[in-house]
Amino acid sequence: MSDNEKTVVEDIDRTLYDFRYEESEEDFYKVSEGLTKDIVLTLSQEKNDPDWMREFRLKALDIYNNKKMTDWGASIEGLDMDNIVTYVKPKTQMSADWKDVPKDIKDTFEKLGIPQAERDALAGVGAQYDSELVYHNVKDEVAAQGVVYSDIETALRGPYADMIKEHFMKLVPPTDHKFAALHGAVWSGGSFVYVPPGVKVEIPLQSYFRLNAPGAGQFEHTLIIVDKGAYLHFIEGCSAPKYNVANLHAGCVEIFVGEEATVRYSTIENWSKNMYNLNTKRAKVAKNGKIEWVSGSFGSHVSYLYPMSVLDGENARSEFSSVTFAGAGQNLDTGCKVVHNAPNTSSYVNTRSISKADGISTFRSSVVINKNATGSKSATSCESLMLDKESQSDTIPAMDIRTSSADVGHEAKIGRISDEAVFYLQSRGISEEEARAMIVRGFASNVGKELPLEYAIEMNNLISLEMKGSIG
Amino acid sequence: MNININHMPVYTFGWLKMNYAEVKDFNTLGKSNKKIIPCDNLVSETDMDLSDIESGAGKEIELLKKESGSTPVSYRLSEGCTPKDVFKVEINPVKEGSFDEFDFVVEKGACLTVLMDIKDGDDLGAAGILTRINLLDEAKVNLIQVIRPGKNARIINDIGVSLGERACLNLSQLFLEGKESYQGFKSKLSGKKSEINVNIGYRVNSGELLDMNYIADQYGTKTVSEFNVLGVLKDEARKNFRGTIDFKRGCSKSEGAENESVLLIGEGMVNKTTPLILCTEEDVSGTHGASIGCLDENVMFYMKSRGLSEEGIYELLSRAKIRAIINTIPDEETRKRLEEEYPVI
Repeated sequence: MSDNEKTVVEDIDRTLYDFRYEESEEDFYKVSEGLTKDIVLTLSQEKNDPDWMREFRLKALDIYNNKKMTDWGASIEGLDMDNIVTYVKPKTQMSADWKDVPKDIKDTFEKLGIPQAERDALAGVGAQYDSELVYHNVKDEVAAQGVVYSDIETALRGPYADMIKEHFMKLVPPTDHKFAALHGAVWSGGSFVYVPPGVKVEIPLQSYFRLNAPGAGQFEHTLIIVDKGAYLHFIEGCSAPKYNVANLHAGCVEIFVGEEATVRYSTIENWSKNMYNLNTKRAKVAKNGKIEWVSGSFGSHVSYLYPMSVLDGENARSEFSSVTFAGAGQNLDTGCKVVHNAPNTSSYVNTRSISKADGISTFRSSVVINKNATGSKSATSCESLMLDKESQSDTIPAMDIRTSSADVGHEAKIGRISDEAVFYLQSRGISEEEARAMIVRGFASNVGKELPLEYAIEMNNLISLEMKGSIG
Repeated sequence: MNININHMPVYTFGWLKMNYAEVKDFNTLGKSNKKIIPCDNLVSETDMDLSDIESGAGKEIELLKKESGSTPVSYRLSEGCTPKDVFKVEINPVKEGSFDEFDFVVEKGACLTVLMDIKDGDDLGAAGILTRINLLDEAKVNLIQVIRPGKNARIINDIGVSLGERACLNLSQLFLEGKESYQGFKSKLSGKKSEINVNIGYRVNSGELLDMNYIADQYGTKTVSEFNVLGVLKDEARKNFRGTIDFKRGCSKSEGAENESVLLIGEGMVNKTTPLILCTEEDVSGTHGASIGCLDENVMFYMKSRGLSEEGIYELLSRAKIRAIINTIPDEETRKRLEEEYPVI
């Protein structure tokens, strides 16, 4: 074992995700770089938007142009919208059969294990390549229960058009922040899910987003409506090969959790390190409903990611479990937001952050308990682990409590791997490097244990816990 | 004058309106009404300059100083000296608003206790107060502040501290009354093994505002910062607590802890809490915790079964929180005086 191996925690092994097949310009249609009214209109025409959507896009563009950037968070100076291509369409039609997907695109998803996962453990899959879905399918038995899982553009013109119009960007309006407005103007692709009352989708649905074009943006919209008493586990995966130019991901997820319904939304985010991941996710939960967020953030150059739960009905609940790993050159600003807006609601937040090799990991959260949320409870636990002297870790939790009958607890810890714990494990016959690896694996287990086995394994691979040497 | 003060070292979501405090129509055009009771060994100086010590309120506090035209009252305590008496200051906010600045240099091994009592202000009175302390190596300062300027009075009370090697600051603050109280505190722990212990007790009544910003910048190795905050909010009280422990690169083996416990009574209050830990040094230990809510039902039942009314129970607990902070005051004379003023029963 080399000396280097003994003193360094290996970075995440990205070779699985960094591959790309050679593509020529003829394989794609794309709009010009930058963001103008003409580009938005071209995109709208290309997608055959209904009139209301075209108007919506233009209004959102107007909001984007007039909205200031936030005065907090990681720097996004390296992102120049004039250099971003907002729409890149592979020259293929969406299919429900992998055989019809062009070979290079299919090979990409094969390499990522998506078709295999669909066969083994998923009720349905949507696969997006750059700005458009290239594959979408749902198992017959799930569709027979009345579950709708389709690309959002098709749904926009089908029997669920009114439902989409009623819900689209109502939870995350374009006025929310600058990149929500950008999303409203140039969104493309994404999934629509509707689960009828009482239906339990026992095995998960998954959407996988692959951004392959250099200098491009991906703006998929995911709209999930789970009706009364229903259950859904939705998995989102994302990756991209690394380029020397900035890529942008500004997706949006809106989830409506009906009365007594439960939605689990799991994400393994592994964008490449040239990616600006400015994503917005939000769930509104009705009476006795529950939203469970499980989130692993490993990739991207800069991330702003704070899934938000609006607990709008009595006894509504939210759980948020996440792990963030920031390595060299990464600034991952992640966390969550919870708004308690009805009596006896409850929220639980459990996060872990790891940073190494000048990586910056920030946990940022807000818990708001409104005046009407009497009897509500909230508990937050966030822990940060720094693996070397070059890294940075910040915790920025905020609480705004407006009723005396709330019960709010918050605790946070920051530090390094305990020498005592390593010593103890060594005294039980475990090598130092394995002891440290075990501690880091255990540290991230809050998320691993919440994921289906295949994804937990993927997450462990991502963290590269097979540390070949001890930590610096 | 309108100023923005008490900025968090790093901002968070703007819609929460926690990043800083907007102070409206705060003027300092009047003459200060203060009483100073000096102590032995403390020497008054005229050419002391502590302007490089940053305070918690931030740069805009200088605008108040400029408006008032006031000059600092400066003192030096010589090496190794420990005055027998407590240095006492009493400030009564005046209607036109006033500004006072107190600068202290406490030399190596010296120990100073300062009691500042802000009380009995004019109706609608206002006072800006800036205290800056430079603690040289092994110096110790006990700073005790009792804030009760009057029901309709407003104050901005700001502190900046610099600590040398093994220097120690014990800060005890009691916020008991005031229409608007803005409290800034920033400490620079440059010296190895320097230490701050901050104990705060507050009682914010209906219609009052307490806005706080506490920052510990830890540069030296083996430095320690500890914040212990106990408070009660009643009915339409508003409070914003920002607490930051900032472990700077190189402050290895340092520790920091902050804890806030808030009891909420009645309805209509706004309680905001933001406990930050910023960390660019791996070999440190930082924790923060917050506990916010009403009294546990079982405790309430027990106390009622002992014959206490609901109002009486809250009064008792409110006083107990204040008393817990009084108990941390290192100076016995001051502690006893405040214990008499604020009996538990």
